[in-house]
Amino acid sequence: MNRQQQRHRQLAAALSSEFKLHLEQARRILSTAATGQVSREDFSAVLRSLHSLKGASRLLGSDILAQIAHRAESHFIELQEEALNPNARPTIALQSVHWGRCRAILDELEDAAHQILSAGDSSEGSSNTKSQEQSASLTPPTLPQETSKIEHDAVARVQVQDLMMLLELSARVNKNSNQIADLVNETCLLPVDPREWTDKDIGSWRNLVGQLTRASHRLSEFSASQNLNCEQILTVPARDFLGGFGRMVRELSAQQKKSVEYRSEGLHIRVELTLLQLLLEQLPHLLSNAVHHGIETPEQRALQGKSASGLVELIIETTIGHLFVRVRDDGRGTQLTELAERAKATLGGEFEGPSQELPFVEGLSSLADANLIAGRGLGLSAVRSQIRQRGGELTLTSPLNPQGGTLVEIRLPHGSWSRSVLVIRAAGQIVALPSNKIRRLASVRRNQAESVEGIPVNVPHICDLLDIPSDSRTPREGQEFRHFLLFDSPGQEVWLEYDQDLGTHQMVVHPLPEGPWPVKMLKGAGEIDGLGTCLVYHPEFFTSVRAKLDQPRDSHWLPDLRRGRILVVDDSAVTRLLLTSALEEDYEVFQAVHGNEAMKVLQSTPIDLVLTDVQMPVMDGIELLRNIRNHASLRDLPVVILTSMNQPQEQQLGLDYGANAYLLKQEFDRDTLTKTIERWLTC
Amino acid sequence: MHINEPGILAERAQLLRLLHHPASYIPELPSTLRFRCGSQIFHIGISLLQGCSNCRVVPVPLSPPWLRGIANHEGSYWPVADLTGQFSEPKPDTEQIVVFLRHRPLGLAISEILGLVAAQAPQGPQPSQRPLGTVPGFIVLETLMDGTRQIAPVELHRL
Repeated sequence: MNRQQQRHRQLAAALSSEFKLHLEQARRILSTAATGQVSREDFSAVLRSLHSLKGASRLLGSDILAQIAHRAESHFIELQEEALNPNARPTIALQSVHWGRCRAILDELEDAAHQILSAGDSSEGSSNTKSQEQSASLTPPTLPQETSKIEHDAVARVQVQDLMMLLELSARVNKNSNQIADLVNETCLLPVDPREWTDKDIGSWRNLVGQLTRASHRLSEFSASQNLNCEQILTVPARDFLGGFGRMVRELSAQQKKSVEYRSEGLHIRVELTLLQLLLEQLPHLLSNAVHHGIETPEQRALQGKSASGLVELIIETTIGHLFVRVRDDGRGTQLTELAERAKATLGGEFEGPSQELPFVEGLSSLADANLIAGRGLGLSAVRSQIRQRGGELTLTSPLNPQGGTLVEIRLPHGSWSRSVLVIRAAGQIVALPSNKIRRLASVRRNQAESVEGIPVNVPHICDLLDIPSDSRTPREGQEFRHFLLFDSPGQEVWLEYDQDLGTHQMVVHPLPEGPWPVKMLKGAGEIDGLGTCLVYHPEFFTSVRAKLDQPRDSHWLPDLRRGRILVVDDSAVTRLLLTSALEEDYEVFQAVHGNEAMKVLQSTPIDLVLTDVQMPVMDGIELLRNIRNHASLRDLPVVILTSMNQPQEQQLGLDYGANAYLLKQEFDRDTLTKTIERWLTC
Repeated sequence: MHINEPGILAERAQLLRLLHHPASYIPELPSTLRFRCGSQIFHIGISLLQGCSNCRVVPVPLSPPWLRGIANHEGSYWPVADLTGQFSEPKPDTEQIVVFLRHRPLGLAISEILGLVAAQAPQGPQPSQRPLGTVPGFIVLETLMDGTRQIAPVELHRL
């Protein structure tokens, strides 16, 4: 052993002994905190311990341990803030949220340390000594009594900026609601019988319908944003609560003289706090069952040809609308025949229900002898009862294979904040699409020239719809297949080509502020492990643009899917800003300082109407108008001239070149402008 | 030590964050942030800023040329503008220093932070405030003695 190895070993040994002291201290403070009798000095001590642990882990070169210790520090700081805040409501609920996190993180810390130190110890043949030390301090896995009391009184910690965002959204929702109410009142002023309507009435009615549609769309968007914000506040990574069961399984198995490996998956998934509270209470029963009733002793496993060490897994998954929590073991499985015999003896007769219900019969256990923590036959039925109270279901499948194995699956209704998205690559862009809006994915060989098995191969590429340069998606060498997706859009079959499938992921979709991108293009954005920030697109955007490609110019944007997009062209910043402020409530407004720039915007952004000045540098309004009318795809775009040039011949010139309306700045009023815009937008 | 080293940046970002809280206002604090965008140097009042960080800016298709993309800033997604005017170049999806504004959800992609400096005297009589190139929403407040320009988001000053 060289000097470096010797130093590492000394450090590991020191860390091992320190660990025990630090964790004991932290758990003691945690117990005291649960009762509300904890002092600042206590917290200072535990924070010093955790900090020391973090430093030692770094010294040892264990980033994992250091990170977990760091997270533990953060959780304890949060607990300290809540527990010692004189202004906070002194409820157990507040404490329990952080209490649960602290408890889980300490267990996770011990779990990670155990794995790392065991790996080091095993090479030195000292793992048995460690196990014996741990066995000596075993306690039955108990949960804090407080957690069962706080389900309906849970308190979430909310960032002030999140609250402000919610308030702002509420204000916008209210404003839109009021606007809708006003518009509805205005419609009441029209004659009851439509046959009596004049042309003016019809114009007013169309105007009102247009405004109502836009207001209701905005209302819907704001409400959706509000929901997403609330959901984000209410969720935390499952790891914060459920990350520490490894220790419990390890201790139980040691107590039972069994060897069990514990694995967990999906702890990064964000889950609603109240569901985590429920699972924090119920999962120990299921894991305990797996160890006590499922996994056999090493001797029994050897007789069955199994490995000496059993496996218990906790797997968390989400689908749209549901959270799945699975506890799986490779033990002997549920012996239904044996249970039926016990039922006959215990109940004094044959069990009348289906045999699959036997494991849920109260008072019936697969263990002959009951002890403090297992064999009393109450666990599974109580857990299922709790799950059902939350609208969920618990199912047990056993045996999973000829050698046994048990799978307990919990399905709970889950909020819609965590969404399943299909992530694809289109040239350099990563595109995320809601999975439930994709009906089919298909791949065909690159040399296939015609439709195959109903997959049309001559369809637009997503890059075409997003205006991504085609040279950036030259097929890579060896890229043999082309990939296609079919949107699940009612009434139409929309296939698009893309470059690469990056898989289905779960992500929290954050709403985006209004930005200078097409309305209804982006649903939001979020983070995906390994891919970073991803934009989530509205599938309807692609279907509507696809429809546009198939149709003549006059239906270039589906009006029911978007607010109007106005391009304001004026060299005066003040005029641009005045117009923008007058219009931006009802439309999405883009700006350009002269005609040349306007043409660039028009070629990169779908615009519904151009509002332009005449006298401008570089390219004036008349030249811009001529360019628009001569452009193949823009020639039908409505153009309204707003200028101070009030001579009749100047007005005639503008109209001759194809302006749809000619307004004078001297006579400017907002209503006239809005009515003119509405008229040409709805034409 | 280069001014863009992470330690320096972190200190500056911290300083800017402090400004968010009136209680931590430091009277002698320099009043503008001097930064470089491409070959141009700008100033912006630090009271107009919320923070500054290194973050990944993701380009958004079908957006105007002045928009560099969106960036995740402390859990929220912000549009990020590009003042350089190098619009013909493809927008890279890379790590980028971004200064985030207060009062409006917008970040500015910048090439380098040059320092926090006291406001300088303007050079001669100033023309009326004028727009900044093709990036909407920004105006040049004044041209400073060294020829650099102090900018501001327009909503705070006009209309």
